[in-house]
Amino acid sequence: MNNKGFIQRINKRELDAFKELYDRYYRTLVVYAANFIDDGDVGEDLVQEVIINIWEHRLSFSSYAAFTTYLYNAVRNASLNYLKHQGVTQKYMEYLSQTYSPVDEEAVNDEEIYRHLFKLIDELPPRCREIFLLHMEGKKNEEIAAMLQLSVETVKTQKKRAMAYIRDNLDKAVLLALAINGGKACFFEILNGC
Amino acid sequence: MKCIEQLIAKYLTKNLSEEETEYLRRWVEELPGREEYLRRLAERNDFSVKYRRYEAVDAEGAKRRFLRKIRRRQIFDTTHWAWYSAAAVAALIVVSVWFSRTSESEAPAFLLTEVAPGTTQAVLVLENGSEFSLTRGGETIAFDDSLSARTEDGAITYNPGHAVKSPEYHTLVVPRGGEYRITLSDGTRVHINADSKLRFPVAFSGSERRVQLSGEAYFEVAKEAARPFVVEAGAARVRQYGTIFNINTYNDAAEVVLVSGAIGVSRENGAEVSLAPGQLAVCDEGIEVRDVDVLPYIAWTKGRFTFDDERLVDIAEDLMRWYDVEIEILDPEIADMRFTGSVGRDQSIEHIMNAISYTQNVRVEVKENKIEIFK
Repeated sequence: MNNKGFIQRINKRELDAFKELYDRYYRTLVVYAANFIDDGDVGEDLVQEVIINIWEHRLSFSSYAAFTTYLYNAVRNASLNYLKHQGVTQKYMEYLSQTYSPVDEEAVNDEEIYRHLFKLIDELPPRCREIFLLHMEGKKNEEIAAMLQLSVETVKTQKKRAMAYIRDNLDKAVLLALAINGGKACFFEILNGC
Repeated sequence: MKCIEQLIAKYLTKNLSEEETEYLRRWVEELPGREEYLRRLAERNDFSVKYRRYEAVDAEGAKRRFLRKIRRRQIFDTTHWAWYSAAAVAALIVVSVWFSRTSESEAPAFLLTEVAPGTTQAVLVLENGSEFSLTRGGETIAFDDSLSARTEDGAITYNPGHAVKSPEYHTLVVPRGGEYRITLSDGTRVHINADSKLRFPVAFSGSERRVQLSGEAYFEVAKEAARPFVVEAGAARVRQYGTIFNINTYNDAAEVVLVSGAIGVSRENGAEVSLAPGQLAVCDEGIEVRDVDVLPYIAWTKGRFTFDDERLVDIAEDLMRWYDVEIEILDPEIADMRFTGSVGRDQSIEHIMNAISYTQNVRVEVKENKIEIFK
């Protein structure tokens, strides 16, 4: 389903859209909260509260970008707020808020990059996924083959498969975003080698 | 996803083409700090660790906790209703909106808006016990060499079989939350309501066409002057020769309403009472006949609930069968309140519940896995 329709349904408080919000964002937001807070349960609670707040206060959003920006920044603020009440030192708070600056609608959002990547990795077949992850951890083909008791050839093939799947789908994601937003500037960039 | 984000994602997974690398290089050089940013992002271990963490998060569980939480806080939105109740005609209707104050342990398992109406579904049970689930249309079921039936959307048609001495009996079982239509081998059409069973021979033989019903069904009997069609339904035996009528045995008594034609109703081995169109026979200890408006009795076959001065307990029974949900009326005086109104069976149960709560100012709440109606 396209992003614009999704936001309209969130604005209308459709239950299905909120379920989809969980599918799309929950895990990414929890991982994002983990940048601030070590305790995973606390992170999950904070993310829950952010989503419930949207439902209860009938928040509505002008665009998909505005919506994602809100999600990340709300989790960021809730996390910093939690730490403040835990009596974390001023210095550490400063470090955190500088390292993880608020998400800007216009700027590059690395959490969104991860979200798209992780979704694609999730879609890989289990063995293919494992090989790809080990590869990303810097393991050599021979090491991966030994760890998983596979031939080096298999590792190479599966790795290629994973790469191709991710590449193709990232291309598709961008084309889709263009079709929806009609972003001419970016389209121009693509023609120029983006 | 922004163009540059997609490019960085490709960079992270080492998937860049030469052109793309060049483009990214130019992007990095545009502003100071971008190189450092990209380097930090490219920390391979970071990427993997992040994914392992991501993978371990239980989004489904979180979704369920979210649903439980908001259900406890649900409120009803106001809507206009063309319903009235006999007692409330002249009264000013007060619309009440309230927050439920149920405790955690009584958290409802669903929202009213989620209670979907019934669908066309049935299970066909053969004499040898084998079962066919009838949910899809466009299938031909061959029972043996000479006998088959064809399904279409929400209906099954038996081919006119050749007469046999002792034909096999099939049973069409329609569950709560379902309805189904069948055309028997003689061309008689039966529309079967939720929570009902029809037992019939695959081909009719002998001097009578005889079927057994429990629950509710609407019959359009194919005319055959020489072979009467007999329905055994609860205490009632309905015999007729080509007519349209509705029978239900949901309550202890069997109710037979004649739409057109002529039928005779009897109790087992009892004397037959003739029914004229527009008459209802209630068959219990004896047979009671009265004139009625047939429409509310057969509205379900037209996809509607139509209640004419109907008691709330009886309405609740109907709703439970169609929506496959539990409804409990907590105050006895509400149970006997009477309602008049009509609403499509394809609506969510919330529509009807709202109508009921606004016309008589009763409250409706979902508690755990059932709907409660109270003062």
